[in-house]
Amino acid sequence: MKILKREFKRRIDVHASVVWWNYWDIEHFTTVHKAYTNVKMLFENENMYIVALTWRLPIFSFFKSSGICTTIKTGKYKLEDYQSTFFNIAVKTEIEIEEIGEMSSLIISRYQFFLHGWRRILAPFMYKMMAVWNQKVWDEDLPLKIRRQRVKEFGFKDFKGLPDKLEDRESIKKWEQSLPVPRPKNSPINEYL
Amino acid sequence: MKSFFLCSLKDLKKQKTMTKWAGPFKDELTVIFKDGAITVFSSICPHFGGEFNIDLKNLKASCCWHGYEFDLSSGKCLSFSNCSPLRFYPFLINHGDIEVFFP
Ligand code: FES
Ligand SMILES: [Fe+2]
Repeated sequence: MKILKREFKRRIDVHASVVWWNYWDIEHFTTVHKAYTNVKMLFENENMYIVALTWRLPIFSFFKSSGICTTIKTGKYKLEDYQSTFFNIAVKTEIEIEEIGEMSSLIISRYQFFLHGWRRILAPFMYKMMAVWNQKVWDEDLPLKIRRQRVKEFGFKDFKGLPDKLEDRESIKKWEQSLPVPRPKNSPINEYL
Repeated sequence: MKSFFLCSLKDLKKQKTMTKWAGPFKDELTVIFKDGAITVFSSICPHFGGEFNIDLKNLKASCCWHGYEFDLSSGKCLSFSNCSPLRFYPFLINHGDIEVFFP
């Protein structure tokens, strides 16, 4: 078996909790990311979630794949996710968010593809696709993180919006994101729960 | 009362909808013009802070982040009842300019 590894590092001027929110906010998968076409929650608690996912490869969008993705919190701003992608290739992704100063973060993404038997011939293709995938997802998520940071600096509260009084529109005090990220009970993502 | 110049009526009539960050209000404002009526509202989605696509024909705002929809006449969230409504802002047309007030 061949284990194909690749790591990406990116820096962004938003608080680590905002980056963290983006990873655990399941509701944006199908609306923001063109690759995901369906997502249903199967299980979740404050440390993990398991979803049934359908997605397409970037560029070769005729490659459609469905499967289970399990995401586990492994540290304050660390997660691991396990899924099997097309041709039953198992993939492990590790995400680590390092806080740099007050409002800046370094995101380290590590991918591992476990290529059994003939699948090892896909290694060069997979190696390239990892970069394309990572860039695409990054570009799609970037405006969300920047805007979320901005509204939090104006005192934004989830499901409520900005404070009524102008003098209360000040940066939130607690830069934290509790898990699971709240979702309306009748969200279509909860259909299988 | 704080006020903010949003845009000119002439530009609004041409473009039908305009969005601008209003620094003094710490908010993002969107103004729409439909059938001669003007509406100004906060276009920061009350769910998680997303931005809207405006459907002028059906007077709806739909959020680009999670797809929640809001009715632009009442401000109500049409997707889920536990989401706050949109906030509307009072305004005046002053010498052809749309001047918005923080209530
Ligand atoms: S932020 Fe608008 S629907 Fe979620
Ligand atoms: Fe994302």
